[in-house]
Amino acid sequence: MLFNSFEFLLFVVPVLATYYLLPHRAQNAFLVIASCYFYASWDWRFLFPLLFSTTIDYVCARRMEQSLGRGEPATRRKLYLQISLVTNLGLLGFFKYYNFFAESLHALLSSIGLEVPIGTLEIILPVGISFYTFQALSYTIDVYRGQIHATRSFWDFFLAVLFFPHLVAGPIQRASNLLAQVMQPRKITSVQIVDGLHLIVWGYFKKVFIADRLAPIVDAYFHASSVSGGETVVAVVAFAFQIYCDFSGYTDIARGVAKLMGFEFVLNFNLPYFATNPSDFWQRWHISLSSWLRDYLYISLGGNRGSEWKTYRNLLLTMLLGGLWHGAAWNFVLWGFYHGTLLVVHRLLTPVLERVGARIGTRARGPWLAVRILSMFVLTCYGWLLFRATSLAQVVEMTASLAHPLRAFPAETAWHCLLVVAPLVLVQFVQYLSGRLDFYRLAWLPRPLMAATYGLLLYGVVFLGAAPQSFVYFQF
Amino acid sequence: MRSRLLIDRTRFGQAASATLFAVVALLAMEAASRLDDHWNHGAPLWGSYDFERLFTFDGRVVRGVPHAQYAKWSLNSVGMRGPEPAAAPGIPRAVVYGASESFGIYESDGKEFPRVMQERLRADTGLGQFEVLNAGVPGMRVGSGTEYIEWLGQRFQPRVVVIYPTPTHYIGVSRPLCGRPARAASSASDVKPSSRLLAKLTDRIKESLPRSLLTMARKGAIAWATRGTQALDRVPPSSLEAFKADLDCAVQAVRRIGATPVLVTHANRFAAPPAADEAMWLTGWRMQYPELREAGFIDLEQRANALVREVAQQADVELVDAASELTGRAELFADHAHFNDAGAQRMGNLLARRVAALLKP
Repeated sequence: MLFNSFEFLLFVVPVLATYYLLPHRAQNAFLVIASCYFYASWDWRFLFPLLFSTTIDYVCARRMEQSLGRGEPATRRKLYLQISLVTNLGLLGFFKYYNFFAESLHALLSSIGLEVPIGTLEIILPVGISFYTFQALSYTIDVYRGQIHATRSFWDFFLAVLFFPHLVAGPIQRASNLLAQVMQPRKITSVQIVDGLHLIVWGYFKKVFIADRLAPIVDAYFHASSVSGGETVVAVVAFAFQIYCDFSGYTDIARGVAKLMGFEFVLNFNLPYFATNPSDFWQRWHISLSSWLRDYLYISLGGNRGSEWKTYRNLLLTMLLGGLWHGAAWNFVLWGFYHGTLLVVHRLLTPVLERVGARIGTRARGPWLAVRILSMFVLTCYGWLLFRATSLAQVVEMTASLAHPLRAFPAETAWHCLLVVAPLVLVQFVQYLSGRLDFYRLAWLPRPLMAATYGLLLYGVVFLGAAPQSFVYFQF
Repeated sequence: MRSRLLIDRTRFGQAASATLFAVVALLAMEAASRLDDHWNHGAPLWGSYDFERLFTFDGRVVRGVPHAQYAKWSLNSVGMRGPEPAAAPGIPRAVVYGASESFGIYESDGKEFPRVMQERLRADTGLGQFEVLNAGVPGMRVGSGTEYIEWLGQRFQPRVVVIYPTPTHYIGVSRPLCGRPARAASSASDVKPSSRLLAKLTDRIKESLPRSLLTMARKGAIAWATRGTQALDRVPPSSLEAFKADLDCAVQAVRRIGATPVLVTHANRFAAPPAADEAMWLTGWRMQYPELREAGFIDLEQRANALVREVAQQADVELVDAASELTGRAELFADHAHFNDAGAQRMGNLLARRVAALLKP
């Protein structure tokens, strides 16, 4: 059941109507049922691995809490954490990566002349497994670290993991944020409702009007037998906007729906294409994942506490695994490695960049900022080429074509893409310059004009959108 | 008491403000809808804009309005779908006389079967200028357009007239219509919404609604439409007698203008008996004629097609048995009986083969 389907509308409206009529505990029970239905609409069998891993996590967290209360040695808690890690990562590894590693190993052995039969499995990847695995892991790790208390109610925990707005594509919620909201009675304010509706309309606009219109253009270039430099440039920039509008549109809808029920989700995107360097980019793009990787992987590896070389190693390893999290394919690994390298290089160059920044006069600060934003955007776009490419051969071919970036430039297609993304670019420029992230609410407009603008946005969503496409991040 | 009144006032104010907001947003959507139609289809900004604007009733027959345009449909200077007929005299022509199946509802522009037929005939007969005119008028009953056939004869002198009748248009008809002025049979597209936004929204909901829910809603609407009445299991013989008489009449009208008539049996998507997963399409068909039960449509088609074959034999008319060739092949239809691109291609080829044989000296 995709957010951009009519089935979702038929699902969410009665769910909201019923939800408002119920008291707190009944609301939670009802949301568990509704979320199970939502998830089972893909495939009812997906519920079993989810139920299995959450049960293990719940039990392990409870045991860790009891162990801490009894003053038992930390090794005991570590054991429960290991059980939780092995269960969650084992399920993720089995469903998502088994075939990838089996095929890669087979190819590697074949290349050195060893024909070892390594069978692959006919497995359906449960939707959203990467998201809910990380979410559940954050709970047991936080309990292990003593940062939060384990909940006594299994159903509250189950709901925190299963809650349908974030289940299949995030944002990845920490237990400290969402579980607390599940456990406490929620007060829905009129501000939340208005804000939620604004987010939903804006999210659908980004997804249906921008991302879905760019998708066929991008697909055509990435499925073409060969492309010119100009076509590569248009394809990659169009994909940069497609994936941003697709994913952030989904996130906005998820956050909006959650707000309508009194829940607050974390911010997942903060004008990522205005980032001035790789580190800044990861504080703006998919924030719930990058902060998860920072807190649970990078810091666990030692973070920047050791030598400079160890910091570089940790950055590379974190981004490599972050890339692999996106999908079981070598281009995602390459994309992760690329971003890890950018972070390392940026860290190396930071003193130089700071010196240059300090020497620049007040009048040149604007252009210097623009140069940094533009440079980072270009670097990000090249990363999207690695991410979107259908094969490594295509990566090589498209990269080579960039030696002549204006050759056979498809001006008409570029103009069409520009018109499609213009509303987003305009809104985000104002957001960036004014520092008001809630600019999309258009609260600065007189109310009649605001209403008319929302009417036009809704018209664009319902009647001018392209044929509905699945969300890119659903595959992860 | 005073504070309570203040709270009530605040709530009233909020409700009024929200209502006003919604009204302005809806008005903006209506305006956007009209601008969208204007830019993309040349629709007028004011006034009604619906499928009916393509056709007019001249007091005797319903015919296309010259140069009319609605959404993807546009008519030429003689009120027909398709390119302009050649002005030069002596151009060899065929005419397809029928209803919405011939006019083309779901096919991509230029893929309706009369156009396919023309392309095929031009390629196969070597008659490079051969024209096939699409004289299909949605809702047209075969007997009520004889004056239209006469006009076609005077204006275009076709060599062949292909008659593709729609049997369901005779549901509720008990007397032949031949020679009598008549409005087109009602169809779903006759509905005239005052708001373009509402019309688009209705279409979008229909497109997006899961089939099971749409069928459920349709069944509810049918039950409502037939409340307090007894739905028919079969169409009474009088309706089929009227259909047969009108077929005869149309054949005679074609012969009077000096053209060769070709009768075509009516094809639909349903095998007999229909598969269980096809039931929703039957319900969709019944939406247009709630008074006839679903099974009655299959029965009507079979009886009517038997009559088409009978008339063809009795009147010594060429017959194209499209029903035998295409009925039951759901992949060729976009709904119960209207073709999709693949179906129109098959139908066009089928007719072109027979007409090509007729044109050979």
